[in-house]
Amino acid sequence: MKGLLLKDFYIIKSLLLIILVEFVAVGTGLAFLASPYVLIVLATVMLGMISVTTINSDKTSGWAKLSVTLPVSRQTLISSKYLMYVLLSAAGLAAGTLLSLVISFMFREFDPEKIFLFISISITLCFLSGSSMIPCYFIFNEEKSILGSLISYPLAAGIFVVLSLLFDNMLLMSITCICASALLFFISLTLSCKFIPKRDI
Amino acid sequence: MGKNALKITDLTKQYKDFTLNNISFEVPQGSIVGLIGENGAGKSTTLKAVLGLINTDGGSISLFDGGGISEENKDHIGVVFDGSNYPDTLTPKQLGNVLNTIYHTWDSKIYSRLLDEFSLPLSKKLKHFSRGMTMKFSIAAALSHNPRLLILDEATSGLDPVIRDDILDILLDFMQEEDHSVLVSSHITSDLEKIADYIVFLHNGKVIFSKPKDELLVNYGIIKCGAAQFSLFDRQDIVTCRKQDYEWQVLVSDRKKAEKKYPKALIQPATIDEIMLMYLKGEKP
Repeated sequence: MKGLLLKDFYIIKSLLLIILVEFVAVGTGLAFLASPYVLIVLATVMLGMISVTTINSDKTSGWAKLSVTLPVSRQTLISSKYLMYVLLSAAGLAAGTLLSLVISFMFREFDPEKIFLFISISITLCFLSGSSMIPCYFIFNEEKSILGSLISYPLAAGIFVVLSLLFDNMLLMSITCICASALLFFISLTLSCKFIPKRDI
Repeated sequence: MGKNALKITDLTKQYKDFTLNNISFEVPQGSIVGLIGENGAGKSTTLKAVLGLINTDGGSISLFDGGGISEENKDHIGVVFDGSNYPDTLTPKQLGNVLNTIYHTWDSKIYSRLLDEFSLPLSKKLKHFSRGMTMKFSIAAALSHNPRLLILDEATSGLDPVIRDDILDILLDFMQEEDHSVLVSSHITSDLEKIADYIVFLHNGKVIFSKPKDELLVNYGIIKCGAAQFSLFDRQDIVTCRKQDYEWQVLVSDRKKAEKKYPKALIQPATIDEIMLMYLKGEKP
């Protein structure tokens, strides 16, 4: 598992500059137009997305084929992607939160309730979209898997909105959303590890 | 009877428009087995089945101690596929770090020595390597975890003769150890004539023959003759025959016997390429 995560880390490291430029460009605009706390969602989503695209790059590079011949189980190959997704999304969450706090303090717009809300949205989006996106990238070819990711984020946002309408209490709503989405993510991991290894490469 | 590094028995795999049909052959320990066949014959499918990349519909595959492929024995199998095998944004140094944590039998000293021997730069990304350098890197990585069985799928395709010769030397060097074995699939039969001990010929998902290379090169022959002479041949002596514009080509499996029986016939030794072509394009009399 460590070697697989290290390989993805090396690949993503080479893309970090591009990600940073995109984040600054898009994030600056959104922070001024909407709220600095949008950066929390943006950073979480961007880093999570990057980790998932390594699944396609493994296919095109031939690594996906070679990795099955390594002394690791196919379940480990799959679960390493889920773990990388969670780790990078968490890094994005931390970086986005820190940056938005700095900006909000600079402009004296600090709002703990909003911070909590955006953190909840980010975690829920991360788990909900990851639970559909990661299996799509394993199962489908490059074009269809990108389509899957384009659908998964709006779908996850939609589910969050629906859940938020069902609750009056924001804290309860947030905790429910996070727990439900985490459970869905775990179910996705379990089913992926059970069924995807049975597919021919 | 010697031990086998790999034994395939009645391997079957069905696709919509192709079937791997009861493939059986062995890779004896200490030998190099060449797997030949035209495009679409089933060579890569057979290797994928051995390596666990695809599910099979029947048959058995046993490695080393008699078991199937598992996480434990993958440490002892080195694999090289055609084309790219590794992410091209990484350097050999980074890949060495990655593979070191994956293989339990990884030897960094062997890896460094091989990279040095093949003149491969440690800190250059694989995307800047030539095709020959990429293939040498793949072989270096495959040899650096002390494998006992090396499996190469079209590893020399598209390489120039100099690089191919280098790779053949590497394989012969690998075979210095008695318990090392190689299974190599290739279109370039001249390479296999140089190094292989056994040749397995696949056609349309079936094993046409599995024979020692020397038997093919020493015993098989091709007779080129006119129609009149062809009509005098005993059909039992003919493996396959092929009518060309001005002559018949006849493949015989015992050249010396044919020379005695048909003293006026011109019998030439057959290369593996010619044997393969005669099987594919010829017909039984």
